[in-house]
Amino acid sequence: MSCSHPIDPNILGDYWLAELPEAEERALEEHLFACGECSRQLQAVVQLGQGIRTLSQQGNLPLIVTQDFLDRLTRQGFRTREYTVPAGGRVECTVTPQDDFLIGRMVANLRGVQRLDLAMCEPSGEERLRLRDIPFRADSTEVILNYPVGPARQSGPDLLVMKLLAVTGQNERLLGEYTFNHTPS
Amino acid sequence: MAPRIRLYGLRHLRDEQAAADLVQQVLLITIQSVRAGKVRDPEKIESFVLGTCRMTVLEIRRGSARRERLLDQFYMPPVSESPAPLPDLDQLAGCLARLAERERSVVVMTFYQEQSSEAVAGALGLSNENIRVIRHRALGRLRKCMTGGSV
Repeated sequence: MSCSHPIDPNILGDYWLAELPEAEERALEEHLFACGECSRQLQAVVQLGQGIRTLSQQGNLPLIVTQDFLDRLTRQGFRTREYTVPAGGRVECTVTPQDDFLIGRMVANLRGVQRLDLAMCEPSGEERLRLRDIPFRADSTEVILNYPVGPARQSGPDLLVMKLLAVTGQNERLLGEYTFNHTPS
Repeated sequence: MAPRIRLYGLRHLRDEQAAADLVQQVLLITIQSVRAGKVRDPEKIESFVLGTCRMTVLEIRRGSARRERLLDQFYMPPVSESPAPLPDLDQLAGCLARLAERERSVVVMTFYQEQSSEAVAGALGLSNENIRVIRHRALGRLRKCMTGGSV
């Protein structure tokens, strides 16, 4: 039987994350227990979240992360391999079968930056990939990138230049260039 | 009812085993109550089950030993309510890759440990409301992508 008052999946997501006011939460639970369709919708929201969590744990999503996120991984027993590079710096890097996550820390002054892009480039300057409008804290002194660990494990020697770019309208300003010289383990 | 009780348990206890235990315990109490004629209106069994879930979760949080007592009194085989299957992970990875960077960071940081908007907002230097808007938009796009629509 179809539901006469289907719940917005975003509300179900808010419920799952405990972000509804208590009265609203209780009313929603009454509905969920009486409505198979909305209960299945909630199950779909939960499954989507579980899928995202599983993929995150595999370390294969290119992703800007935070120190708090890395601390949680470490507490859960995941092994992270980290490389910190100053602006204009270069690092020799690798990844081993024991590493769960491959992290690049790029040191930068982000004060006054409105929009930040991260470009992954060939040594020639040609862009392989650009992460646009990445999240950052203006008071932070670094950008932390989770680089997909699976492709890195399978990669041969590779020289990758990352560029942090402050973007304002049509203009962009180079904040720093970071060279990662990868060799297989 | 078991899947709904399990979801309730996962939502409030955040633990698969605890949710499975809740299913067993609530069904046991419900069966007992029906047999004893304590459920006056069978049409409203869902409300009874929800009320029992709420009470039981409160008791679990208080560290009650009620479950053990009930299981001692009335043996009931474990309810085999296995976790629902994950979505197609390759497809989901493709859909995540098509999100904007902020959206991807927000949904991953949110669902990796089911963090509140407040926690994610603090980490990313955005407002709670901004995080909720980004999350809603991202989940909408993921749902659409996973059902075959474009992001």
